[in-house]
Amino acid sequence: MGVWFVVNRRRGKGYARMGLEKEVLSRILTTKLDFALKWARKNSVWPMPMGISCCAIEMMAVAASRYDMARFGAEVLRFSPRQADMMITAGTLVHKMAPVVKQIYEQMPEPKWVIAMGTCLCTGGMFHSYSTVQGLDQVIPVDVYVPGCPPRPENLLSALQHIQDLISSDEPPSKARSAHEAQWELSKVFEDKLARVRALRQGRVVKSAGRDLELAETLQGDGSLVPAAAPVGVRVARVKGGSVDLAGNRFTRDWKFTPKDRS
Amino acid sequence: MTTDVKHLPETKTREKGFRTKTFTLNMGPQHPSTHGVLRLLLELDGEEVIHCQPHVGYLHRAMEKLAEEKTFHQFVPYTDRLDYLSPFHNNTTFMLAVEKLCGITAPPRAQYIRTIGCELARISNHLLGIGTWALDLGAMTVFFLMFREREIIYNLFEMLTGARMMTSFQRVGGTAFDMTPEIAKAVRNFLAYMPDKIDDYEDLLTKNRIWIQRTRGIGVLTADQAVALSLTGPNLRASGVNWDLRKTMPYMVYDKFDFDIPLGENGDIYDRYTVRIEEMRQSLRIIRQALDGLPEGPYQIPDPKISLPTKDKVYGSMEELIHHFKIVCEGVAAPPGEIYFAAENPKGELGFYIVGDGTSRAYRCHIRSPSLISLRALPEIAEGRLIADLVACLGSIDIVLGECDR
Repeated sequence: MGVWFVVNRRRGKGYARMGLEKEVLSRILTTKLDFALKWARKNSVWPMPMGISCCAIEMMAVAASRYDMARFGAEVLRFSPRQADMMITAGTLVHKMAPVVKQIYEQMPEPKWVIAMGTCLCTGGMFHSYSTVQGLDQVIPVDVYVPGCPPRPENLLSALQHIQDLISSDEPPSKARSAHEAQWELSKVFEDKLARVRALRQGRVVKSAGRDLELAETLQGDGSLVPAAAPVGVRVARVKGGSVDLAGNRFTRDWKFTPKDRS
Repeated sequence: MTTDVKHLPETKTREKGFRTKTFTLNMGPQHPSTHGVLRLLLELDGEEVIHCQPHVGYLHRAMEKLAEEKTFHQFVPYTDRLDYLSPFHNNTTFMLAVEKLCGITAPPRAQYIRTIGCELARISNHLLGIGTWALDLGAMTVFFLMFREREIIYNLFEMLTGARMMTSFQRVGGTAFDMTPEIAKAVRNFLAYMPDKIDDYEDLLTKNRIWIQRTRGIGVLTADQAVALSLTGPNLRASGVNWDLRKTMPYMVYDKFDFDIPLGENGDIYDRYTVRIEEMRQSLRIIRQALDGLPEGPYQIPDPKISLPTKDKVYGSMEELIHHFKIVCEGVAAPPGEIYFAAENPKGELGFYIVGDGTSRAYRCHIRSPSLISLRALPEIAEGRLIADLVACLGSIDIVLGECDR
C-alpha cells in the first residue's frame, strides 16, 4: 500500500466522535504541500546525461547493472533537455562545445540542478591547454562538483544524493548561480569571439577572488537580480595583456586585483 | 538477405514525378547515438540521407601540443584519455613507440603482462562498442549484460594497475607493477567465465531477426573501398582484408601465440559485428597462452638510468638516490631522431610519430588515430540510406571522439 498525502486536512469533530480518527491516521500521513512536492521531486530525478568524453563511460556504468542508479529513483535518463531536471555533465569541456552545453542548460525547465563530473569540469584538470574551458562553472552554474579523473561510480552516486539533499532543503537558488548568469551577460558585450572566449576565462579570476564579487546587478532576498543603485566601481574583466570594461574598452592597469580594491 | 536501397518508398515517390525539397538536419553534438560529441550535418530528402558531413573538434583537447611539454612518463596519462574505452592499449602503444625511439626493449615478463592487459582492453572495448551500438538499435538487454562483464574487467584492471579505467600502467622499459599470482588467478577465473557470456550475446543478437534486418547488407564497403579509405582494424577485416598488425608486423610477443584473425565476407555492418565478437574469443585465447607462458624475471629493465630503483636501494645508496632524483625530475632522455610506431588497437592502427631532440620530451608527437580515419567511411556508407541506417552505420564503425579530435 502506498502512502497517501492529505494536504491541509482539517480535523472535524465527527472523526473523533465516530472513532475514525485512529483508523484514518494509521493509513494517512498528514504533511505540508511543499514537503510532499520536494519528497516526490527528490526521489524521481530525471537526469540529462551530458556525456562529453571519458567520464561519460563511468556515467554509463552508474546507469548500468552493477551500480544501478535506479536505486535512487534517477533511472529515467532523458536525452532531451526539456524533459530533464538534473544535468550530469561528464567530460572535458572545450571552447567549441561550451556554447552547446550552455544552450542545453538553458533549455532545461526550472527548477534544475547541475553536476560537474570529473576534474576537467571542476577546474580544467590536466588539460591546461589553449582549447579547454577551465571548469564548467565558467559557462553554467554548478551545484555539485565531483572531482576525480574519472570519479568512481560511487562518487557520482554520492553527488546524486547531495543533489537530493539540495532539493529537499529550503535553500533558494544559490547566489553563485545568479552571479554566474551575470558573468555570462558580461561576456555578451564583447563582440569579437576571441574577447568572448577571454571573458569566459575571467570567471576563473572571479572564482579565486571569492564568489561574492560585486557585479552590476545585486541579488535580492527573494533571489531576483536588480541593477545596482549606484556604480560600485569599474566592472572589469581580466584578459591577457590588459583588461576590458563593460563597454568593451581595453585598458591596462598596474594595480593588483585584490578583494580590498573592490570594496 | 540483402536489401536493395534503390527501391525504398521515398525513392518511389520521386520516381512518380513528385519533387520534394531537401532539408538540412543537424545531428549532434549532443545526441545519444553520436557516441560522444560528433556533429553530423545531414541533407535529407524525406528520411533518405543525401549528404552527410561529419564535423569534428568538439573534443579537441590539444593532446599533441601537450605532448611537447610533458615528459614521456607524464604523457602516459594523456594517452589514457585518447581512446578511453581501451586505455591500457593506448598506454602500451605509446610506450612501445617511446621504447623504439630509445632503442630499448622491455623484459619478456613486462611484454607478457602488457599483452594480457591489451587483450583485456580489447574485450572491454568491443563489449562497449557492441553494447552501445545495440542500444542505439533498440536492444537494451545486450547493453546491460555487456556492462556486467565490463565491470569484471574493470576489477581486473584495478587489481593490476590500481585504477578502474585510466590505468597509466606503462613505464619506459617495463610496467609499473608486477602481476602477482592472485591477479593471474583472477584473470584465469575470468577466462573460464567469459566464453559462456559471449555465447549469451550471440544468442541475443546473431540470429535475432530484427538485428539481422537492421544490419545485413547495410553499409557495405568492398575490400578495395576499405583499403582506399585507409581503414584499419575490425572495420577493414570485416571487408575481407587480412591485415592485422599483430600478425603482419608482430610487436611485443604476439608472434609466439597461436590465434586467428576473423575476417568478414560481405563488408556490411553485420560482418563488423561478427568480426568483433570473434575477436573477443581470440583475445581470450591469447590471454590464456600468455598466462601459461608468463616468464619469471624482472618486469622493468634493471638499468638504474631507465627504471626507478627500489626504495631500499634509494635509502641505502647515494648513487641510487641520484638516479631516482634524475628519473623523477628529468625523465628518461631519448636520443635525437624520429620514429613511427603503430600497434593494432581495438579500433584499428593507432600510431605515434615521435620526433626526439635528445631530451625526455617529444619535439613533435603526431597521433594517427584510427577513429578519425574510420569516421571518413561514414559518408561513404551512409549516403543514400535512411536516417535510421545512419545510426546503425555510425555504431558499426566504432569511433571514439576523444581519439578522433585528440
